[in-house]
Amino acid sequence: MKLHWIRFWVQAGSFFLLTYGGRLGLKLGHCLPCFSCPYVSGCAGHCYLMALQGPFWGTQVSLAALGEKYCLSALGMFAGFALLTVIFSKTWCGWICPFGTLQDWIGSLRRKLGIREAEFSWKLTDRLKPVKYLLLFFLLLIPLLIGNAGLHSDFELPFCQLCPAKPLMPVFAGKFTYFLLDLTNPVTVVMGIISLSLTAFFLVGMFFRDRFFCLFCPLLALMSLFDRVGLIRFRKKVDACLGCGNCRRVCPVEVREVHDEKEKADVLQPECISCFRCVEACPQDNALSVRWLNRSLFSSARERAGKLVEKGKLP
Amino acid sequence: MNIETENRKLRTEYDAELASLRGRDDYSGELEYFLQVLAGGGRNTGKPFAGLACVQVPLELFDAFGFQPFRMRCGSPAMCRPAGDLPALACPVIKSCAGYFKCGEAPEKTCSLSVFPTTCDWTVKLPELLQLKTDEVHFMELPHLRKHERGLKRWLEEVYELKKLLEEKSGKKFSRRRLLASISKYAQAWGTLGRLIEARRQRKISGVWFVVIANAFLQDTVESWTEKVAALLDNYTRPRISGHPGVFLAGSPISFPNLKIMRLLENAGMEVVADELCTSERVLAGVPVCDDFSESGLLRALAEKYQSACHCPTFADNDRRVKNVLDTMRTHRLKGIVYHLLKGCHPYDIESLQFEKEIRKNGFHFIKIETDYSPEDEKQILVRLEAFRELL
Repeated sequence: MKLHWIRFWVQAGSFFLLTYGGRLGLKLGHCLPCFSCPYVSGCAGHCYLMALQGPFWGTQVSLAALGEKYCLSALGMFAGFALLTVIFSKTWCGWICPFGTLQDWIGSLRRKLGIREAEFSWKLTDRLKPVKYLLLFFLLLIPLLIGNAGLHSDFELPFCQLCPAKPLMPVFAGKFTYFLLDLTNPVTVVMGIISLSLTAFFLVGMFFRDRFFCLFCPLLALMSLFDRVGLIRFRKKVDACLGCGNCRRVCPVEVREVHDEKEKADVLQPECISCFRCVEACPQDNALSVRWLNRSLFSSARERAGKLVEKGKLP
Repeated sequence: MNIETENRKLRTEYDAELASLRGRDDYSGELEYFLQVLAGGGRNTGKPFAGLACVQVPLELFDAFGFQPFRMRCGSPAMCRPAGDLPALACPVIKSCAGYFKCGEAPEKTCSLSVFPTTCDWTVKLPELLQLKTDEVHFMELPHLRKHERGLKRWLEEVYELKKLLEEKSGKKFSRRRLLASISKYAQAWGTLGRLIEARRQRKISGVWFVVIANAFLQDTVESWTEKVAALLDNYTRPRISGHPGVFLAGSPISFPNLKIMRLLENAGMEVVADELCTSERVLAGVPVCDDFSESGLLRALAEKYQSACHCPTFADNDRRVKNVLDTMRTHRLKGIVYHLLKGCHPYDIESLQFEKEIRKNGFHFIKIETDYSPEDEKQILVRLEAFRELL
């Protein structure tokens, strides 16, 4: 079975489990390193970003409370997130994240319709790279300002309020209410309008560009801080690389560095979502490989890459 | 110049080379197809021929529009003579190619289109030297830098232009379905070529036959070539596996019927088990894997395949070439490289300096053989190659 089909079924299974698993009694906690949206009723676990911004295990707390019991519970939650990230690295993004899966499905629809993918210039792609870190910064700063500088409490969970997953993912649980504006006060109205505008923007973006949201994802930014200690590594046999560009072209998040690297063997990039598509498309035997705990999981092979196009049919 | 006399000489030369190949102890019936294809020089399949000068032209596009891509012949010593009016320093590949155009009958003469990527200066000026009609010649301006986005974009524009031209010439509209079917055919050919390369690495087929088979590519339909190579791999058994030390062959192209350097290497007691020649292991560029099946996505994949993975020394950023060669040397435990340089082949000549340094720095033996298609220097080359063999 081809790798992308295995990935398709793993993603479908993960989507089903994380979206409906709670109804089957599955409880995976509040520190999942993927967009398993807490606003989906009956989901199996929660995206760690909510905990991180929140008043219980996150940054919305007065600085004085940091020395108290609170600190331990926040650290415990972070440790859970860190452990899951280190063990599975960013396969959470490429193989498990339900919102990532939704983006892949929307992209498949575009492919079926034969519509070209929107192409970003290298310059634009490079300029977008820091945006996710900026979002992460504000995601941490705003709760701190609520807890310590008197910022209005309706700014609580600022990222979740604006995240396109909040209105979109509950649709799969039959809930459409997050598309409605909260008219409580001007803050909720403004946040609601921004949220819906962003959702529309990202929906269009996701249709025309693979994994469009991942280019801005603050969770990916946070996870990439663990890249150096993650158990999943990407190795490139730089001397064997022909430079054909297959890896660069099939990468859903426009990582060029795997192709460009000519010296270092370690090619895991902060933007990488570990979908392994580059390894599957590489036509040189063992030029690219994925390793877990220093054991090879999957390596590129000439024969496999050839089979990807031998079918010669439209999707 | 008497065309009939020149053609007679060409025929004699072909017959002698074919007889020599058929007389080898490792000749077998499965190889006959390739000899016949080379003897015929472009098998008529009923489709219009499109002559291609270099390996950067996207073959799949021609096939998708119903053309028969045909590699222009350029290996005949006899055909260098009719091109005597070309500059004396012109490389034999260009002289010979010009000779085929001047004297040959088909398919060079009957090609409805000849495509020249702007690789080396000789290739760029060849249509002018041959006074080809402008509506039969199409240049593809090849950007010589690939590390910037602009180089890739410019080449993609050229691929779009070629598509437009083929639409006009064929009267057909572009079809993604047809292009994908063509991509599939060439992917199968590439897969089979991979098996053939592996067979040579394991010495199940000799270096000479490998070059013959690779040279027959684009002299017939891709389907026939693939089928015959697959059948050969399934049925051919080399009568005697050579125990000679294996070498890597780098440098200028070797084209039928000029197999001079291959013979000399064999006579000197060496076996070519790997090469990087554009007429041999690099006749096919790779597979254009893509996830965007729109017209734009498919053409981009094709453009990148033919430009990015090409190791022609006309590219300014070509450092991957020597790295790949070193990797093959290490993987297959080869000790020496023979650098075949055709006189007047300036890009390979220039790049050989840095290439040699890198090869020697990594502890491998290196010899550069500068020659042309004439037999005069054969004895001298043989002595040098025999001395080189002693190092391995």
